[in-house]
Amino acid sequence: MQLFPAMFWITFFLLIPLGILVIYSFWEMVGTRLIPVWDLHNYVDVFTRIKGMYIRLFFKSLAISALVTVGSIALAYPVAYFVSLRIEKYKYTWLILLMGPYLVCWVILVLGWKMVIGYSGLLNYLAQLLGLISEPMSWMWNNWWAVVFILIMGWAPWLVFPMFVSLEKIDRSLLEAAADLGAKPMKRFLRITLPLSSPGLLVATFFVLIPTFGEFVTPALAGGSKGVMYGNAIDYSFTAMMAWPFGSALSIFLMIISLVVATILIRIVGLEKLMESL
Amino acid sequence: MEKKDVVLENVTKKFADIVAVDDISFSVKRGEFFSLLGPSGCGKTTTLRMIAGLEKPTKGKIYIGEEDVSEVPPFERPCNLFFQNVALFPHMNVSENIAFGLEMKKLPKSEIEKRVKELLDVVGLPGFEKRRTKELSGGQAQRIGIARALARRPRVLLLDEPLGPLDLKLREEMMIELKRIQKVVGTTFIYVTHDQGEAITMSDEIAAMKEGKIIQIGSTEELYNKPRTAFVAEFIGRSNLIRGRYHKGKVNLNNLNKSIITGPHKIADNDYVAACIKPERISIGEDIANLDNVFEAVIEEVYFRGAQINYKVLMEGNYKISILEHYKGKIFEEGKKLKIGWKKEDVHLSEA
Repeated sequence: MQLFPAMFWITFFLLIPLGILVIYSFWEMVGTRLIPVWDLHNYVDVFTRIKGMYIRLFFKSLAISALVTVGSIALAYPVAYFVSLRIEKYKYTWLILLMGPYLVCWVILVLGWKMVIGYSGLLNYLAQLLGLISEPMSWMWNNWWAVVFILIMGWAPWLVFPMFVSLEKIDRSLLEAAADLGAKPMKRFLRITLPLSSPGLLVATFFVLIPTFGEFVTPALAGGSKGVMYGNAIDYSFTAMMAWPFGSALSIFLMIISLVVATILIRIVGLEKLMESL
Repeated sequence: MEKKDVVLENVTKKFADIVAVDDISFSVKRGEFFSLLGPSGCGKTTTLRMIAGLEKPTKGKIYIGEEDVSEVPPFERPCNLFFQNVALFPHMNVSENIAFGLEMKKLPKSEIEKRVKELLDVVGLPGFEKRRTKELSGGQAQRIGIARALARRPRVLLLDEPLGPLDLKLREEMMIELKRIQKVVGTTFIYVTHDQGEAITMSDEIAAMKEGKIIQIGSTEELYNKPRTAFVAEFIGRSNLIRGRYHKGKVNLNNLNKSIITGPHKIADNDYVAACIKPERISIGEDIANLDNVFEAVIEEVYFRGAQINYKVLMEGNYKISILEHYKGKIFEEGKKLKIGWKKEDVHLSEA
């Protein structure tokens, strides 16, 4: 009974809409009318429509998500490490200061980067001013790597937190014990710090990998036609294409794959450890 | 001359403005069980951490063997530390924990396996290789911690209050166990504790510390029988202290117009001293003869401990005195007025 409020919440705001999505994925849409046909043609379409473009887009998005995950962890881990193990006073103040510039909405963040790396952005302006190039470089904007770059820059500061928490939890006497037993700094990091902070890395992976998979704002703003992601395809299906059943099938497919990935990740580290570091 | 394993020369450690260790010097002989004994905050742990290389001395030099290790990082020092909280690596099993230090030495696998097995035998836990650290009891974890610290065959094993977290019974077992292990491996042990019982039971030599300084250093018996100051006397063996001025073979008491006969000492007349009398050297009874010092007393508390009885009495002049007596079938009751006494040889004079 104690779970009732939570169950009510989940049922009405998650399971019912999700159920509708599942039902739609087996229907068909003609014009603006939904027809219950109850077959799998939408799922077949996910793999075959436009010579498998959607499934290729899916794998491209997966690659982008993986790249963003690795990149943002690589950027955030050293920061978390530094704050946790090297800074002694005002650790939390430093963390908050670090977050400051990122407490804006995502759209502003993306447009902010446009002013730096966009066609008429700061970098192009400075490079022209210094005479390094004669006309603006166009390879920095409106493609998939601009999307990757902005996603990394946007996610990294948030990842500092879970990794900081799991680094803080490491008993410092373990590091001293390792040093005492002959481990040099690099060995100490690889044998003690890194494995003991792995739950934080996993939380970070969850944080980034799964939301990035369905990302559609950043590619819409910074990706141009070359930087389209799977999330944009879902978006178009429900809006411009007026193909709700197909969009539902795309969504459900994405959800199933996300669940599989999440399950694998949890299996690697164990749910208990994961919860400890949250 | 006997070989010295560890030598500290005028070592001082300051943390900001606080002097944790104040110009101490001592040396530890090869194969000795040496204890640093003192109340918390006396600088004993800091001293140990400096020997281990985890803290840098502000001043002074530390030698291990013949080598000046003052500038040597901890991972290159020929000593290992047993941590207060054991600090076993939680993500490794027992054999991986013990093997860690050996892997850092890049020994071949077969040799590491052999050494791990050997060490588990030494600490009395054969067959524990694959156990996870979470599955170990407090006492088992301690033994594994000791095995891990001994794995690299250090010249010196440093122990920081290793028995602190254990309950009394386990602590007594581990004391005997530690001493046995030390004899088996023959390594020099430097042991930090605030527990005089632990120090007395295991040590060959004890350095009593207070406020960053060493007050007295010597064999266990020496510190027990001849404490140099009242602090050492109170800390070790719980002596009874009666303060007064020394005058020609007597101590004239502060609170009482009487004196304690001590026999001649090399102390200037009229110096303040503390007369220490061990609880087990004091006789108690209704009729005491042939003793140099006899005083009136009232029994305030009686603790029957089986083989021994501990009386807390109030001696004339308001001195609280503790007496330990072997139980021979007779106990005095609380409130009883009687006499207590001791011989002059049983009085030791310390700095007040």
